[in-house]
Amino acid sequence: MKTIKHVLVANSSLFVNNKLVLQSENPIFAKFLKEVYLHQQIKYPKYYKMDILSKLAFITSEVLLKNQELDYRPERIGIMLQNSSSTFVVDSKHQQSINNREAYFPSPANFVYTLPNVMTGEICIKNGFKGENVVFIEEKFHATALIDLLNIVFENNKADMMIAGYVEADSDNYKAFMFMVTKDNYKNLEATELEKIYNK
Amino acid sequence: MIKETKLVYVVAESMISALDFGTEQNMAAIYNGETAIKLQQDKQIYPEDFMGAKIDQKRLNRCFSSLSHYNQLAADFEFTIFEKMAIMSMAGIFRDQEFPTNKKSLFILSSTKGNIDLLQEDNLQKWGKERLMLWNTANIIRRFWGFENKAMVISNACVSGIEAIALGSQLIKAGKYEHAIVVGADMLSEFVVSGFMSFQSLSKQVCQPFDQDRDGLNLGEAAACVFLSSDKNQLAENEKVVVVSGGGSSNDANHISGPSRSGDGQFFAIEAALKEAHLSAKHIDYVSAHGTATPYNDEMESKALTLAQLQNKPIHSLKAYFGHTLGAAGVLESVVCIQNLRHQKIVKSLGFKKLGVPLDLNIITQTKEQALQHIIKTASGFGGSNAAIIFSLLKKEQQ
Repeated sequence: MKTIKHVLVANSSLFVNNKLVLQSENPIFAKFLKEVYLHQQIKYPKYYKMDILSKLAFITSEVLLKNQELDYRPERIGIMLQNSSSTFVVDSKHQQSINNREAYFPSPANFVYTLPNVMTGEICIKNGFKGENVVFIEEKFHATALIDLLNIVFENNKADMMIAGYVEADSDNYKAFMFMVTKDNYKNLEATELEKIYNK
Repeated sequence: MIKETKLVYVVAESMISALDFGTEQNMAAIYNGETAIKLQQDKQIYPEDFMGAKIDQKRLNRCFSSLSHYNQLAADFEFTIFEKMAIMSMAGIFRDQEFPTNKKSLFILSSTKGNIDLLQEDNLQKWGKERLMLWNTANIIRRFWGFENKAMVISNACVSGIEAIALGSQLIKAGKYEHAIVVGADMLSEFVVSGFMSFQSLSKQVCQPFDQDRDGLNLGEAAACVFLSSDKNQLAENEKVVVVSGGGSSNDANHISGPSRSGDGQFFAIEAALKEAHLSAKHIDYVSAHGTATPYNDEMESKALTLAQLQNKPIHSLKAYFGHTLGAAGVLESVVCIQNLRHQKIVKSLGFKKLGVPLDLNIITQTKEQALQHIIKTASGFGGSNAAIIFSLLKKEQQ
């Protein structure tokens, strides 16, 4: 696991390779995310139009990919993420916009984010990644399932590098755990180790 | 060609759609050129009339109740519309053949929004938030059939179904499981209709994929099931043998709600599927494209299929038969492809008259018998997602 870079965003804290990089007094998720955005000096105007799930996934990926030189073709870099409540927060927003027939105003800007894989789309757009893309819905982070599927991707020679992990943003609960793994080090992945980092 | 690795057989396939319930019934309607898309006037779904494909709910409830002859749970436990659709699509297979439900068997659900109608205020009060969670929905369906393993859920927009079949098949090839039962389902809900309306992407008539007059898509609802296995003993006698030979996915890295301009994203998915199948474009006999009938999607596909050198193969879209069934589409349309292999038939692209995409495509205008060995099914969706899967008929000497 030593060669595999990972990032954890949870409990108003940001960890890179288990090292605490930023801790906030602010318990409000959206405000904490803004702090990370500024702290990491991210400049990406499209960020502001994203829903909360894409924001969390995007920021986590930015921290993960910071100062990384990727020597792979775009179609050889993929993303595989797990998530639990899909896009419940933005779904509720869209639902509110259609609950009242007298004030019926569904917005395309909201609706487009009502699919969990849009978060992988945002990361791909920013970084130009064009490889394998898939989002799984799991009750909670499921390390062994993720490793099984990553093994398949690499053993079938479908990618040179994958960004993988778990990103969840419900109204009262959020967590993001992301790591980058390549064809050269995927065999070092250990489920117990991943669970340990995730549960930090 | 398909050597070395383990073969993944399509043991059986089934579907329910707004056309009809059951695979044979659906195929008869398709071969007959019928459409399930009609004027919907249900104010619960949208304040104005719109064109879409909706399953007759009374029929669904009636058929579901009759399952209590096989499984007491159908009577004892209250299921949602979505859950009933998914379970009914599986019942079409189960009637003839029991699913293996032991540890060697994996149940995979593909859906974009699952029980999304429960988000509506009154429903949310009755059913609770947790019933909306896709992992929970999958677990309820899993328990109905008694699968021992945890269910896997893929929610990757309109390419979910193809990814579910591809990953199920790859897990079997890797020896992780012996069987995978893949179900794709999505419903026609106010949530989704209002969203697509806000995008102004719905057509006021039956959609016209690849046609010069195409002006948008129609939404539909359906559920379909594919039973995959590496165990040859599961295969019915005297049935043509179909295998999953390769799959792949990709991202456009271009825009979250618009397709790529160059088509290279979809091309990468096709390329990945061909590579896994050890095939090249010249081996493909038939392309079942995504063909939503929105101006940009079909334009992109004409470029992607040309990049992949598949533009001269017989090509169709099935959207004018079923509407766009979102997370069900990949499985539903795969079932049609598998059936076409078994029947050695190609199906016309309903709604198509005159080509209206920038690059020439050989769109099928007549349903007819044709010798087929390899079919590729493609899809694209929001988030820049693309996927492709190849089904092959095994020749006698390969069996």
